[in-house]
Amino acid sequence: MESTRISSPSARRVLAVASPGGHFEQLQLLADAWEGCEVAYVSVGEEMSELVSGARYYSVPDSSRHQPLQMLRGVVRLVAILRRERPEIVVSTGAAPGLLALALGRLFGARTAWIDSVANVERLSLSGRLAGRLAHLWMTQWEHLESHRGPRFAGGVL
Amino acid sequence: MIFVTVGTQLPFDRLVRAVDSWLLVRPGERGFAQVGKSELRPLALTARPSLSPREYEAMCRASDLIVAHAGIGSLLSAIRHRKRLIVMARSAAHGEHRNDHQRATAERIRASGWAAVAEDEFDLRRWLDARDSIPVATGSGSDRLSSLVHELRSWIHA
Repeated sequence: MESTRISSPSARRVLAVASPGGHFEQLQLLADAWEGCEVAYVSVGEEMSELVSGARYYSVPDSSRHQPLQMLRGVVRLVAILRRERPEIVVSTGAAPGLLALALGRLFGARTAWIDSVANVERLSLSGRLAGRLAHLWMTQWEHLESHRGPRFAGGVL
Repeated sequence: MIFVTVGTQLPFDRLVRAVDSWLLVRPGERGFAQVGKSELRPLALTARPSLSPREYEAMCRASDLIVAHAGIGSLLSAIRHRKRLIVMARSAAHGEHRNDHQRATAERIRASGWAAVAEDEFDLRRWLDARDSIPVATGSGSDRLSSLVHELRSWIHA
């Protein structure tokens, strides 16, 4: 049976994912983009829930390509979150857990957006380049990094 | 109160030491520092390796000047709290980061002039002396942010 969530039937379900610190700070600055949607946040560490009072929050294990076991734990946790939330949209500002969420989100049929971190001024990060293959919407926050086959630019948080 | 933040991960002792030595001969000034995983024991600064998101917010609010590495989280919180900001980039040559991406960020800030950018620890102490001349941090302008939000919002509701 469906859980009893209070939301309008038309509200889009959005899963917003970012690592703690700068990535999450950027995600919060973009929050007006999903205002009125039914949003749940994902980051690393329970204390991050302090930053999203009023919204659902899930913690995932930190993961990087150097820690395969941690990444596996991250996959298991994210699958559980995706099964519960059934998001129509997965959006991330990075880093590794966000990339993982985009990949798994696609398997669950979500449309995915990657907003590459504003910290990547000279070139996209590895996560950002990989995200190009996974994201329906692939954005850089620097005009000079926009390209025909690369990410698009529409603005930035800095 | 001066709030020093170099994130919660890597130490950035060159920055912390510079502020600490400046404070040591100015007993009227107080400073608090989030120093990351550092062995350094500052004399004048009250230092903690990391703060919870809520504590971090409180320190930003209570400060009248923020001294930070060129990490996006630190920059965005100074903008959000409308504080004067001195930025110093981590340097790979000093073993302060894997690469020099913070220098690229600092160059962007210098070009748009919305915060003080310190080249090194000597320059940082000069900016501390001249802190009253530093404007409140604004970022490069809110239209960059709103156009990105608008793009993302349209895509979510497409």
